Amino acid sequence: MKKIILITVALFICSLTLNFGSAIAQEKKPIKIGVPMTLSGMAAQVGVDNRNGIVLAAKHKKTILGRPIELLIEDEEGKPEVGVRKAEKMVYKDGVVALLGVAFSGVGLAIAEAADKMKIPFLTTNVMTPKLYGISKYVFRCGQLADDQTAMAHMLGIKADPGLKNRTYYVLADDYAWGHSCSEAFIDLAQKNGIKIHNPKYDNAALTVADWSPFISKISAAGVDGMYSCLRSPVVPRFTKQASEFGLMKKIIVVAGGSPSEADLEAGGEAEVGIVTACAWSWDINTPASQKFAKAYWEEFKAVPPSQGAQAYVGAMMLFHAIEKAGNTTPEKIIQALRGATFDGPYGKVRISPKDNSMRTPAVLTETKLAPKNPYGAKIIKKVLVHLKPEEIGPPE
Amino acid sequence: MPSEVTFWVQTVLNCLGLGGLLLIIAIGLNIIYGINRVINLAHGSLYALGAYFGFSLVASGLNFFLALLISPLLVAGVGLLIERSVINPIRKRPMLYSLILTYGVMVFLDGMTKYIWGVQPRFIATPAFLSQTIYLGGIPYPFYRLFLLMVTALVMIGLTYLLGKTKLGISMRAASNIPEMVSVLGINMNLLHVIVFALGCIFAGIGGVLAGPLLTVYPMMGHEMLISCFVVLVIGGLGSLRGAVISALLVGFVQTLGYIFITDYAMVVVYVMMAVILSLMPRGILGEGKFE
Repeated sequence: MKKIILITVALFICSLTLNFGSAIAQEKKPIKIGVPMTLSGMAAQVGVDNRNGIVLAAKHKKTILGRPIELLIEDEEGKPEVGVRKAEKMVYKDGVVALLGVAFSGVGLAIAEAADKMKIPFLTTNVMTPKLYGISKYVFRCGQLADDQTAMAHMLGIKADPGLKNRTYYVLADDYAWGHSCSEAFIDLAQKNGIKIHNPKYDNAALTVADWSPFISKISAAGVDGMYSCLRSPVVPRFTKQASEFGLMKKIIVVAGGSPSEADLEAGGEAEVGIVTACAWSWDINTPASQKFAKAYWEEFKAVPPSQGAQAYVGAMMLFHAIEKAGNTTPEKIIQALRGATFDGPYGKVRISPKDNSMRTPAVLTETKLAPKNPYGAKIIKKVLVHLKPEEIGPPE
Repeated sequence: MPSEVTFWVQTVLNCLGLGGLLLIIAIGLNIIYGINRVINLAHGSLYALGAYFGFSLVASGLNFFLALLISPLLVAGVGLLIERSVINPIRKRPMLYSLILTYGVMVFLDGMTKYIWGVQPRFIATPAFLSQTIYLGGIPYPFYRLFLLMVTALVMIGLTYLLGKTKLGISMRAASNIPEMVSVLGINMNLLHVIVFALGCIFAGIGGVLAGPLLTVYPMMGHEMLISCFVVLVIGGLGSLRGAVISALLVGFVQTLGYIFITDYAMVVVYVMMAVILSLMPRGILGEGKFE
């Protein structure tokens, strides 16, 4: 009898020790965040900028709930089916507590559907399609402005500037989900605000187009003096470089629905001057928080601080702080913490609206110009023309 | 100048420009197939490598024209390594082997390119006079695209001379038609294969350097160009150089006009055209294509 009691007590003490040890081990185990991102292909630079912003955020945040942050970064190649496969692998095999990132709308929508099935929080940093609004209680949008926000920002800027307001715009779009939604959002607003559109049914360009001369000749022949571009952000500088060689950039202003990356602008040089675009951040913003981020990005990556890097940084911080606020890593707690979450970062206060799980953010309308002397060696700057408040660009709540 | 005239003049020149670029790159692929009987899936990656070599040479301070001369030679050097190490050992095997192995080479070259140069897009800087807009009777047109047409013409003249007037060229033409007889006549076929492969790579390199200032240098540029080159080859007939000239121009016109008038279905038209020609004329539009 005594023996039985002794063995029972010993077993009980052992189980307590194991549980306690496991709890300690759990505390030290990193919190894994899955980052599906486009890191190959023509548009890889967008993915690289986003990834860098997320990596910098992880470096600055250091820990969540006292546990180190581990980013699992996977290349989804810009393909929805690959994105879903990688997301599933990260959730089921790698045990990530949330998904963060994605560069493009097509991939974002596919992973959003998967995240809903997997019941895993997913915060996008660069997806612009309005289809993401309220798509799932597990899916959130932060980072890059959505198409309707971008269109509104451009519309406000165009209306405010007589040099832009009185132009006729030719709309050219990449032939995929985002290109269509970008064009339709702008054309809809333009028609409501009396801005002239040359081709309301807008022209589509296949994703494989590298030689833009056919479109350049067509735009030139149309006799327009403005162009609204819904070409992917890496494509815009290539288009404008070729257009400048045809003398077209002397005749038109390009308003870019997809804000070109700083790296792409640098590659194109002087040919990239004169592109108007809305984004959340530019290194031209002269606030302490903005300059602090720009300096930190430059020191970490030795690259001109990109808008998309800052946007992804804010998105990542939003997620990290939400997990902190949730107190644990259960999906339901995280998504509860994300709804209404705020973060005050490089471009001011950003909030995720509980209405549609999408961010409300300040924005800037910029125009590319030759950069003054700067610490980043940049030749081109996105010069801020107008600061826009979250309630101005919406969407309304 | 009426805008319609401007539009059509620019469009015709655009068609010729695209056709010219496709021709230079496709000719290299065609030569390699015609004599070596190898479909080199790494050809697009070699074209991209030519562009990256050109970018690095110009970025280091070298004159663009010197880069246009040196870069193809560097690509030829890489090509020689590929020919000796990958192609030559499997020369007598069915073509499937070379397809699979050159696909592997393509993946390897793509990875190395990304590793060395990164994913950031590049433009090859050109001398100021090449970058300017010139006016042809009042019609603005990039001078660089006219330069591209001139280089295409020079390359084709050079190739025609090589094939028609030199011993090497005559050997190449003979080997393309009756390789066994050429071997019996004492011509070193092994050396000929090496020279032809290098020549094909030179064309890829020239195409890469020419495309760099125009289309941007980026990691996937080779894949997209390879597909277009295969379309040119199939339409023109595998191994037919005359066919390649006509089909490159045809694809250049159809693709460019397609982008203007049908926009999103332009490439569909190109592929349908290829399918129709292939079904009606399996040896290409001039009937000179060779099958394995």
